[in-house]
Amino acid sequence: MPAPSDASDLDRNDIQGMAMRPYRFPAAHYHLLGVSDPARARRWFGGAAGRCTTVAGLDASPSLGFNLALSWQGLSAIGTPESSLSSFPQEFQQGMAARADRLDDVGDSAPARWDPPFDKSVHALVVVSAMTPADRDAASQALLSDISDNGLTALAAIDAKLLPGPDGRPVPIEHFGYRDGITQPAIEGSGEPALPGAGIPDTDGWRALKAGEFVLGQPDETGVVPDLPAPASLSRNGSFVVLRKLHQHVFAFRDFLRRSATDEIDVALLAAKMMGRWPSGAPLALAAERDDPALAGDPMRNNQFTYSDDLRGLNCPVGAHVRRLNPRSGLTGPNGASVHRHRLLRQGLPYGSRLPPDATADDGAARGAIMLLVNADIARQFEFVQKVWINDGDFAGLGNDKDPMIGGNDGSGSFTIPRTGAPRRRLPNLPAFVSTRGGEYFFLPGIAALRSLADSLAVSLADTAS
Amino acid sequence: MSVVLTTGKISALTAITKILPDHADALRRTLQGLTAANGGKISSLGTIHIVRWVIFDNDTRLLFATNFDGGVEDYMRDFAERAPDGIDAIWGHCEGYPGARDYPKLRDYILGSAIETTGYYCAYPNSTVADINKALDWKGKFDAFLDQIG
Repeated sequence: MPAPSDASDLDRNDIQGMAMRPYRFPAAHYHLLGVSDPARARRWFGGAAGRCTTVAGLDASPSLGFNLALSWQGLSAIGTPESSLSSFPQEFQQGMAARADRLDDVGDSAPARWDPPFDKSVHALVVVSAMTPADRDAASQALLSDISDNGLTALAAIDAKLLPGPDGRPVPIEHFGYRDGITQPAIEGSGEPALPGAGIPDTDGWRALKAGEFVLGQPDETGVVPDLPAPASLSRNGSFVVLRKLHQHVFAFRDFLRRSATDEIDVALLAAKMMGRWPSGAPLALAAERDDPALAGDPMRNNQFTYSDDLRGLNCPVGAHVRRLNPRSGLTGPNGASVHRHRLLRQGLPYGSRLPPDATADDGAARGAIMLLVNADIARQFEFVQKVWINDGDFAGLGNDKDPMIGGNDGSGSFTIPRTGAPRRRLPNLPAFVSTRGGEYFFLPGIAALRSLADSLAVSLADTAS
Repeated sequence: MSVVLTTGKISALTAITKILPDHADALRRTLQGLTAANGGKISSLGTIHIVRWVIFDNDTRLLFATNFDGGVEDYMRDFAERAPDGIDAIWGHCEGYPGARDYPKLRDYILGSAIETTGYYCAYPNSTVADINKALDWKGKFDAFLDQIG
């Protein structure tokens, strides 16, 4: 009988904060690094361990965050032994570009079209997060001058921050114009307040997910601790971070709505049906007819629903974006039983500037979102969500329909809106509103594991000397 | 994953495993029971069109041949978590079976014992189990509607 998960077993000082808690920093730099000198790089990683923001460290709401992750190519580049490298999951070994067919990163999203540095090997990701762009810039500058003598090459730094609201202050609203980041999985032991609607619907309301869905070496939702990559001293308290650079075709989205809708009110309704929430963040599950900013602003109410009273999708279509990414209790049939095994913690921020509301054409500017999706098992969580929930409809009886917002649509897709007292409405000829512009799978080690990179350097040097 | 052959949205997987000595009768009873129970939990997977087991080679080997929707791994894992006892009850009679509770080992066992599908035909390659069940449900409702207005 597996031991029950006990949150007190969790070493919150050894787990990077990004693995368990949603970041609310308004600005970040995503630094993508290459390893040029393995020995120096290992020493630097070991030394950087103490600077990493941990789960416990977030209790004090720090004004700066620092996190560090390595790709499989990066682990290889710093000289990790083959026996360790080959024990990591296959999809992590292969990297995101090699999984393109599975992820539907084809056509305009194909790796051959990805932005630098994702057209080549990326070895490490350093995330510098801050409450202000000025603090972020200072921290990044210090980082870049620090790494240059330490065997690391800066390949690129992606500038990401919340977009300005009407008064110029940053607001959590993504490029399409929708409030973002309301739904996050509640995780046992994370220290985050358990808001209604986070986690998994339970007989008593809601329960948090087991930490092992996000942290290696902890019991997951099956109650068991899955096998760890070797050695455990490297993998325990680690996590996997999936980075996606997603370009948003904002003008194409607005244009599609204008062409598909009957009037301005219908534009807002169609968009909300596709998204599953209104611009304020009010969910269709609770506000089916019109936006409700008061509801959206109440964290005790804005996520408090399960879809179990709307299995046909009359309020929120079964194929709506937010319902696909978290179907809650709204799936009939066999797929409803495993929703808790396919959850992701979402980090990330927008990049690029907002397309003006009165734009009459696509301005060609780069804009979108950097998504960091955290999970313990990339194949079971991220890749399943991408392949089954986003880029297929069969799991929900929707045939070939894909996610209307972020699915790999090619102009031939459709979106179905069930209605009461009238036949379902169908939006045909859906184009892609999002294209993949880069990405990679990273391993986010625990603090002791990062420190051990410098120790194993000492060991390997001792081996060489003897 | 060349052992899986796909046409349209449906895929074929065939695997052959060795039956443990003196286990064939118990395995036969299990499979007959499964057939009598309409596949038991298999229908709860929602993506299996047809599955067939054949004990052959003088009770020494088991052939497993299935037609299913979607990626083999996407659903095998969920099924292994939901019905490990059912999987154990079959392949537990075979050599080298690791048990259904360790998914990576189960996957490697099933896919490792799979053989290449050489020829394949499906009359409805673009219709999933969900599509077919939905169409039949609609036809039933439409017939009921016609009966009512007729």
